[in-house]
Amino acid sequence: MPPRWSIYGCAALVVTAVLAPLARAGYVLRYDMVFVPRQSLTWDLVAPSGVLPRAVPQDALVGLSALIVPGWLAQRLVLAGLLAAAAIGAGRLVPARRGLTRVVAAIGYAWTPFLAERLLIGQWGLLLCYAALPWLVRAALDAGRGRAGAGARVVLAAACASITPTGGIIALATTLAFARRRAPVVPLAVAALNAPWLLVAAGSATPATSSPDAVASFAARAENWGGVLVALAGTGGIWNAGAVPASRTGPLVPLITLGLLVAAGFGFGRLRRRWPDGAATRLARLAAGGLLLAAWGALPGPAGLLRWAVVAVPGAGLFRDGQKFLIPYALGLILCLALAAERIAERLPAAPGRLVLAGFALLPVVALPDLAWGAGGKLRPVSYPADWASVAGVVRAEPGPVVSLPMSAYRSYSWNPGPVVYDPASRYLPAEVIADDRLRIALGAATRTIRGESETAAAVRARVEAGGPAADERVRWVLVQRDAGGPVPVAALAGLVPVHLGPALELYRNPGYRAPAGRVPLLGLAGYLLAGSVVAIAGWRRFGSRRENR
Amino acid sequence: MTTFKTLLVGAAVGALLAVAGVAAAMAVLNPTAADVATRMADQASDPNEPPTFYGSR
Repeated sequence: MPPRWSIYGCAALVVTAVLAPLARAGYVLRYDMVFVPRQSLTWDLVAPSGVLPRAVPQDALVGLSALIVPGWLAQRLVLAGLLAAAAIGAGRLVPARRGLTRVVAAIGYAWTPFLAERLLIGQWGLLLCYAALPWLVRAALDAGRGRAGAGARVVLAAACASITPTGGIIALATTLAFARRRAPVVPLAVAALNAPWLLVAAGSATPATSSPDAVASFAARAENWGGVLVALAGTGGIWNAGAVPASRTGPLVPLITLGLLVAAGFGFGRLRRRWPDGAATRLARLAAGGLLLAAWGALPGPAGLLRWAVVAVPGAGLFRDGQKFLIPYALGLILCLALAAERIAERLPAAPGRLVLAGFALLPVVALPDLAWGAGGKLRPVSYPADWASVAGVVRAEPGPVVSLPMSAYRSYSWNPGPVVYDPASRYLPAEVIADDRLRIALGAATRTIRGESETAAAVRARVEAGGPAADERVRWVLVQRDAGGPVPVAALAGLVPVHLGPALELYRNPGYRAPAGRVPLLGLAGYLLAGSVVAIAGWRRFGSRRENR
Repeated sequence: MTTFKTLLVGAAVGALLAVAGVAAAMAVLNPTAADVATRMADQASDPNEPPTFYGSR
């Protein structure tokens, strides 16, 4: 069997093992992962003006996809696609001489604590960057060798990685790390892929700074007795204890991590010899930089600098959840591990050598068994109560700003047991949704509330807390979610006309609504146009080079 | 074909090891993680609780 097919087989096994519970109907709703039947392309999602563009261009792409496929299918395609792409990409990237070495890399990269934790916190956009990185590095290596069409492949892989701001930064850093000095076009094109979120932020009135309290809240976190640095070294360490698989807290995990690091060191020399001159060192530098950023907020001195930066430097808030930047480190670690396994196997007779490789391939699964079966049943599809479709229909008929009550950014629903989820109203309803954007973090027995950015949400909150009505003349609808977030003061609904009164949702019309002048975010649209043009040109060049090669 | 056979055997062994691993992991569950899971579950069951936590450290 060709080695490539064994990689595809591994990818299929991983996808099946992780996402099997998604065979049931419904939507997986966890933390930041919100999919709805048909997400609308509203200006509020395409180019948000009241909050920082954290999901740009991700939300616009989901809205576009909704023109073709329903949300439940889009969610399954993207989750299965990113798992498969991660496995296949790593399996093809590793400079192996044995098929089983590629299997080690494929399973290893698609079964890391990083992937499990970011999946559990619902950041699938960042995981697209994770999945695209092996493809990006492979294309960059080919570009260094002067292969036709490789530059276009770099741009296309970077485009897949850049659907979130953090992913865009990682893709750009990777491209720059591998770029040839005399070929600046590709890095410039990859930089242009960041135009949507950069120009949306530039055109927004929202300050691009954030609360210094968030640095400590979102800093990397220890998962066991090994401490923060060991957690990061094992590609874990996410800030949120609720997104950590139980197996990561085991007492053996630090020892396994230490063993993996030693083995990876054993494989690095092989990577350096088999890749073109300097390429392995470049990846090592990139990985080290990512590891440093991941640890930055958790180290006493650097954390102080970051606290200053998020207040003083626009955009520095991107680095407060630094563990996101572990992606290049995870790739480097897995490639070195696979080559170490191959090196050990080559010193043994054939049959024991194969067993060693098979053991290395299965090690990630044994060390992190609770990623299987939807991360131990945590990725479980649920159905929205019927009220949601009814309310969306009413709002679609008369679009206008909606206030979502009670004021809470993340909600815990009885019909979605277990995790909290970002208020689905902003994506389910085809209108601008004004929702609380403060974040409440539990720090042991204490609670920290991180201030939001939306002035409109702050005004609504102030009115409600003062015992006044939730709506002013700029609000057309008030949505009350009765099944999550606590009671809503009766005074908040004063003067409103009930339109839908269901068990889960109530919708009230504001008779005093006056439609404001329409907003067209021209600067943000220019960013989309620029990035879209870059992708189109790269796609055309890629297609053209393939045709020429035939 | 050898690769494929090894892969199949490896997958079978892996399934067994995964079962053992799940049992081991559950046995050594960190109390902090268990507390977090309990708190999250409690939050989900009572809709009259105040606004929910985004996460816990």
